[in-house]
Amino acid sequence: MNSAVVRGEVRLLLRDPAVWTVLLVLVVTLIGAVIQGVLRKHAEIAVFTEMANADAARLESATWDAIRLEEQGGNVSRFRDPRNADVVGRRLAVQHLILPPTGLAALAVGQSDLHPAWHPVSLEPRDQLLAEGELNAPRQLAVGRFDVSFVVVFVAPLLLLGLLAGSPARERESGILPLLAVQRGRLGGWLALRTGLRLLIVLLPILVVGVVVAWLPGPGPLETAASETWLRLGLWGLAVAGYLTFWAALGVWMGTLALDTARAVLALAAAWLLLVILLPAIANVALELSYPQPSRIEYVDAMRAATDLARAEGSEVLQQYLEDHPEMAGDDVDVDDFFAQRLLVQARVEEALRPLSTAFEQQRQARARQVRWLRWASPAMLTSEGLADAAGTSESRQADFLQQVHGFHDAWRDFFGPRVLAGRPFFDHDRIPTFEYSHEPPTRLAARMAVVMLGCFGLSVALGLLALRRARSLPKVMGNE
Amino acid sequence: MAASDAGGHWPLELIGLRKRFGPVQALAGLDLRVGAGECYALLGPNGAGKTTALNILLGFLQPDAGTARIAAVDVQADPDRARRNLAYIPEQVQLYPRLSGLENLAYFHGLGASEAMADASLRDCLRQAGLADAAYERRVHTYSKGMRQKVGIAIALARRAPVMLLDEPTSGLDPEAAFELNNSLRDLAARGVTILMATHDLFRAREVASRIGILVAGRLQQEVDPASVGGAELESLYLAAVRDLLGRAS
Repeated sequence: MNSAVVRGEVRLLLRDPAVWTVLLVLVVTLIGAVIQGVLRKHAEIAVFTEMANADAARLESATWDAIRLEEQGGNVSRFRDPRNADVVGRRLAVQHLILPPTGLAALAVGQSDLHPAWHPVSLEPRDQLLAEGELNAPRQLAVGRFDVSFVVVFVAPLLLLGLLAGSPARERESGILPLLAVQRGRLGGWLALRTGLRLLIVLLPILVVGVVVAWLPGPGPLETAASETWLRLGLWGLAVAGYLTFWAALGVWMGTLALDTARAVLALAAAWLLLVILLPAIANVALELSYPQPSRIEYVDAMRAATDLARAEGSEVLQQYLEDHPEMAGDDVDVDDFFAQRLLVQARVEEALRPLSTAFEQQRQARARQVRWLRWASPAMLTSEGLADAAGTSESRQADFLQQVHGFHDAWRDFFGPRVLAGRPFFDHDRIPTFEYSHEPPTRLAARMAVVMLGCFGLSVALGLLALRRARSLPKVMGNE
Repeated sequence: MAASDAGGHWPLELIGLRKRFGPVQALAGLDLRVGAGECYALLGPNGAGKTTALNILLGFLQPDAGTARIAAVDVQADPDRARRNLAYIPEQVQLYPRLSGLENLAYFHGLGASEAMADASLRDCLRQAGLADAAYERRVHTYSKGMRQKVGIAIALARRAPVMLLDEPTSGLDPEAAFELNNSLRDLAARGVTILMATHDLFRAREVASRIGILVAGRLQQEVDPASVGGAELESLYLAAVRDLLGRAS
């Protein structure tokens, strides 16, 4: 085989109206998805910036107010006093912890429509804060999930299969195959060339879009570093290539099995329906049956009961609690003080709820484990998760962020708790803990992505070998027809 | 007359070839040898086994028994090597309709060659095949069947294979195109190419072939030297062979 064949294939592609239709559909959907993704990301960063600025302004104002009140005196309610540690820790110094979007966040909504990318941290109970943070989720769900990942996982395989059009069944049907077989002998190389060129037609625009999105200047300092963006882009590109290679290999293999184009196309459409729509739906049902989502209502009921109990038990039980947890305060705690009592009731409630929240967490982890297994049922699920991971909107990055939020919440309480219980005026505004997002090590992300790529490329190689084997016997199949 | 090479090898050789499709015995021990520069016409009615024999030579079919050799290479043992010595023109030459005749020739030639053929050489092949110059760069979907057939011949010529197989080459061709095809085949045979042509066009077979074999029910019933028989005589021989066998079968 020589360059004349490559030139011939390129000419065939350039003169095929189907190629231009595919390109038009692909480019239009990609542009739509990118615009939506970039707008979403910019809007998100605008909200983050506003939050960060508001947090900083509120704290600065509280700091100056505390100094002014101390120096100049004046009447102010204890519920608004910037020298009250409870007021500062619960309201004035509230920090919104932000999961910074990656440079590729515009490519995949991922789990970001279910899990908020920020959490306010204060002296309020952890679960209440998380519930407040989820308020944004329904709005984002209403926007939908049309993104570049959707184009890659759902649309691109259809376009690629349309371009392959059941080849080599099409050549067999049109009668070209005998001449090809005599000229070439083994048809494996010819099939690989044809398939590879058609794969590139679909793959290249998607990769270009990835580069453009990574290249676009971020709207502020809240984004992740550029070096991380390029690493993520590389992994994202490989995941896209792996997924589309799988579809190309599947398309050719089925094309070698089918006797005519109609049967080949029908079989491929059925495969797309099964792998992209049905199996993920079945996996969801299996997940719900084996590990049902914990009941939030049950949790809220238990929280209310524990709160009522703690309040009814009054200061005696709280005194006992303090004896069990001497780290919460020194000897000068006034348990009858409203703020101290509120903090202790809160701690008591959280302790009472711990078995339930542990059970919730275990259930969540069991679901996550199940999802990790179920995604192997379909390359579409595997890739969808991988693309979200590369774009930084995956479940694992969210879980890692939540872990950091919980850690910071603990540090917050460790800082404010003793000061609230002591009841002394608070002037440590400049010593309040500040959150800094700790980026995931690239090796961990690469290891997760390697699993996705291994899955897709492994399947592609297996299907490709089957197709080549079948292509070798194609002339014989023709002779028997 | 037919001849083997110095080593006693025939460019095209079928020995005791048998092939059955369910209840139908397509080939019942076909023996045939075609020498270099010889054009052999395999005549026979529909279902006589002509295409089956060609498919076995092409490596598309596995015989139940017997051997097929192309340039001394056993087709079943090494079909790829055997095909390298072979050019083939099917009954219906199907090409890529969106490519021109010249582009199709470059493409198909390129499939089997490690280096691309120069444009001048490609044009030369088309000229030898009898395609008009004006048609070289026209897209094939505008071609008639005869023009496609000529591109098929050009593909076969460009391959420079010592053996050429043709399946019903004049089927559907107008008389002028069939005449030109015969001229091309005669030229090829004169250059030492071994040609095996399956046909039921007695007139054309007699015109171009150096030997004619009458195949009925998978067996070679008779061989005829076309130079020694007239058209009418050939037709009588053919019909007699066919009727005799079919009569016996019934």
